[in-house]
Amino acid sequence: MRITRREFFKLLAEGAAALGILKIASLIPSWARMDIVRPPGAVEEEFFNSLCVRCAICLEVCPTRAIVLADFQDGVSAVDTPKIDPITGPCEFFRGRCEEVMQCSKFCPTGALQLADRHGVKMGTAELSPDRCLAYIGKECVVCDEMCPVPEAITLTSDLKPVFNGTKCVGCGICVYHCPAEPKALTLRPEGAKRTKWLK
Amino acid sequence: MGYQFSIHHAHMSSGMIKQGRKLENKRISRRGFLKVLGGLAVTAGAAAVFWEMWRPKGGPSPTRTLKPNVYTQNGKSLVSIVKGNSDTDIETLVRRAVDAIGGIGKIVSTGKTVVIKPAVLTSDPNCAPDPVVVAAIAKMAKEAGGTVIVAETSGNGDTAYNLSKVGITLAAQDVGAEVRALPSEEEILIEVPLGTKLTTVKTYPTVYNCDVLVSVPRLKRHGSTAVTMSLKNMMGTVPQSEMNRLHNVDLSQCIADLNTVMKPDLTVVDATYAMAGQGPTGGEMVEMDTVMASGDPVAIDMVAAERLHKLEQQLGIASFDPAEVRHINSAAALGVGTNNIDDMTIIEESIS
Repeated sequence: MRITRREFFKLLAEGAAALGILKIASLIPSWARMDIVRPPGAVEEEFFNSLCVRCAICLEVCPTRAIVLADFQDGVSAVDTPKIDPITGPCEFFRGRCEEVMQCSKFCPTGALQLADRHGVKMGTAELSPDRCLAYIGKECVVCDEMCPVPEAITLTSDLKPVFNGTKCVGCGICVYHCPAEPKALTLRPEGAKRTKWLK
Repeated sequence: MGYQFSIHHAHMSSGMIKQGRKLENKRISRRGFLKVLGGLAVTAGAAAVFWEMWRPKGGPSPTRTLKPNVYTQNGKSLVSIVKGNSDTDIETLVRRAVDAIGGIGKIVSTGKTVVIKPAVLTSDPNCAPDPVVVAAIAKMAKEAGGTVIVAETSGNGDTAYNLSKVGITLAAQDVGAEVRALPSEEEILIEVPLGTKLTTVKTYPTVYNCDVLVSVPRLKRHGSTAVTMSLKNMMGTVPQSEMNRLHNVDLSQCIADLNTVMKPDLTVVDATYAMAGQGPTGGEMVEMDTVMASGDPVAIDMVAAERLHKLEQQLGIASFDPAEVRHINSAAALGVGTNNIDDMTIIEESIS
């Protein structure tokens, strides 16, 4: 499989062009999405992609496998950076194995994830879709309320339907992970996230 | 297709290949050989994967009839309620409660495997029974000659972490009991012959094959099922995937159905501190200094629910109707135990 000199230069040019397009694409704000649910110690989104070296150590050390790698849907510049997927695992930064030390932040070599006090972190907000929620369609289920580690983030109405308080929610995704409805009645959105300040 | 015959054999003189003519004819090239090898490896790998995915994993085991309650008197289920004060040793409360209904010796003898099933939902110690209660029962079972295993599946988080965080791992190991996080075991599928909504359920061999099952819940309120005590505690003998399915089917009925195959021989309810108002997490912890014991999980749940209801009324907290707790009534209807106060003998003791 020999290639000619001409073909070789053509490939080289194509590669350079692709890299260039990716770089330009990452500079277009609407292409670099700012709404990704990041691991608990993440710095603000505008610095995150520059600080993260895509080593995926956070993904390796996460005890619950809550961290997955972002793909093109999360923006070109975010490819291979860590994001939280509560379907694969709940983040236990607020209660559980990481409540004392967040493992992802502890092992992050670049400071894209920084050790933070768990009470100052909000990863996002859980949102309820009543049309899929078992309690709203007449079954006995308050699993989200049972599992929620934050007092008063989820309250029950008198007829036992969960009501979410977005300001109390820390966005750990434990409720999403445990929601028994199919498809899940809960989604974890990045709205209201409180991140670690990188530039003090 | 993977074979490539050598084209050279035609040019070779017959004398050169006297002995190995046939072999020579079928000679395959290095590339062909590796291709075949690769193909075989891929086929074997795929077959292994499919076998692992589809092989029957221990089909439903023979049907099991409801275990009889050994703690009875004149055909009535015995329920003991032992109340102390804040200075009373919790181990004493547990011993008095179990001895009041007849002692652990009625179910545990030398060589029996005793599984203690605490209700450890999360890593919050308020949610779990007091480690001292678990340790006291383990100690009593050991004294009676049993081999004691503390086993649990947490609904939330990592079971091994939760058990050590609430202090049960250390307390149980101190008295010589083994602590097992059930999710690390291979699941088995069992039949629920008496089930109305649940026909089969996955569980773990440790809890299904043990000789004696002891349920150790804390007295707690529950959001959807009003209370969570012995009957609801049995939800922790199934994998998390099954817990999800049971919520989808019909939680209260499934709890009752599950208890027909997972009936504890003894239930000890830790009400040293009860969780009132809401639950199973985040409720108000109220000191009661009480330990209850019974061989009938329905009877003890009924009695404990009434006590919790009374307590909540005293505290002025919105309460529930103990007679309307669906899983208790359904379990009684299936014959797991009795929810009728007239069919129980309640032994109340007070230690001061």
